[in-house]
Amino acid sequence: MALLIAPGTAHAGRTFYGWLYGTEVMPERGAEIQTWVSEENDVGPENHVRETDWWIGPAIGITDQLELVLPVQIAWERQGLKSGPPAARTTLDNYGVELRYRLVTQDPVDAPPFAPLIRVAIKRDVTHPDALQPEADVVASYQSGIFHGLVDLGTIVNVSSDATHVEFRPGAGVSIEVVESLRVGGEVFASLTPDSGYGNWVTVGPNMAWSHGRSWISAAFGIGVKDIKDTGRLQWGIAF
Amino acid sequence: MGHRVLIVLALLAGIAHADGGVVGKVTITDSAGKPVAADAIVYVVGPTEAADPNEKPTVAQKDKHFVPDLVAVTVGGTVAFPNQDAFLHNVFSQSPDRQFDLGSFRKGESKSKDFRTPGVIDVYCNIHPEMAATILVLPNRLHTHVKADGTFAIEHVPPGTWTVFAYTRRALRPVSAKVTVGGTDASINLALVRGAEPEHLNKYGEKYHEAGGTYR
Repeated sequence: MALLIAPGTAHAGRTFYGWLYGTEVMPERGAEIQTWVSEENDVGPENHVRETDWWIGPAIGITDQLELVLPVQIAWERQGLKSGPPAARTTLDNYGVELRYRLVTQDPVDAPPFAPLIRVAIKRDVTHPDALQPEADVVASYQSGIFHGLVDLGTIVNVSSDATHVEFRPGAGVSIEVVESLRVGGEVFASLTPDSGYGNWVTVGPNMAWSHGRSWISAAFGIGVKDIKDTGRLQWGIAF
Repeated sequence: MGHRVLIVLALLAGIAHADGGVVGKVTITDSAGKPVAADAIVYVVGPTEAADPNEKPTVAQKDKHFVPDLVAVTVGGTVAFPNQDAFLHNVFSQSPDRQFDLGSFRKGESKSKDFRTPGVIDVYCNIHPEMAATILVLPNRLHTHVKADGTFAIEHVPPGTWTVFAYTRRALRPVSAKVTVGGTDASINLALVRGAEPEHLNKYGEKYHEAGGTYR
């Protein structure tokens, strides 16, 4: 009788959260397609902005701790006015390159429970003639048994010849493994900017994550706490 | 002073004399009783000798095989996995005692992994399903490969009564025997029955693609 050795499964590059980057990366020469779809509904004090984004990018393991991602993002955005019809557009929003560096080993025996990751990206904002968009995240996770907690401090800067816009994207969450490969939890996520004319918003809500073989899915639904109705983000990845 | 040196030397000589060895022969057959030419490792359980500092086990990837496909490493030791093929290989383990994924690496590159707890670790390549090897992580350095004729000798075994095991890949069951080591060698013969290679899954817990997948 042939015996199928039933192992655990290898996963890399995944996150257990909807809005927050994870601290796992691909092993060297590993490759994965990652993608997400997000919604930000009724943003701003006047609740007049809606945005849906689709992001997709291949992730490639440069080393066992350094991952290269080549993302492309498409955005649908409606800038509704209090008086008059809303203006909507769908466009290729940006593309670029990003690196994610995990500062500690991923070996399940040697990895410490506390794992930091730094993400840096440079993107071309194609909606403006000369805009670049540097991004950075400092992510730290803590794992103990079925518990996983994570803090993600992100920054997005949009630089063009006529303006510079800074946006901070802090978030934190917890994720509990309820059955093998299935996790549920919650997260809080915000978009904060010192620039006038932009909304600062905060959401909080449940998240879930599921891993199956070479695939993983995570999602979060955020209920608006400040200047937004709700948010949602669904992301998944498949390694090959 | 001279007397003290003599006493120490005499004690050391006595200790050396107290050590013995375990010698014998391992026979390996298939389930039908037909002799099988295969590697086996014999090891002694009980003593706590630390790893030999010269112990540097290596499992090469060559001609789409792990060479050798069975190695022993003392707890705390490291196994190197050099790729000697002209194409990419991966090394991974999903064994409960030690899970790891060394990623993919090309000819001339080598990765290594440390092993801190005793156990039987099956390793595979996620790209080539025909590649399989076993690493025995043993509690002391009293282990050896059998020779081509099945004979073996383990030296410097401390005096006492110990359990001696023999293991070959795909063994249907472990075999062991008690030996008492004194000033002379203890002799035992052990018989292993080797089964078929069990089907294994890739590192994602899935079946491999037919005709050579491209998984990494």
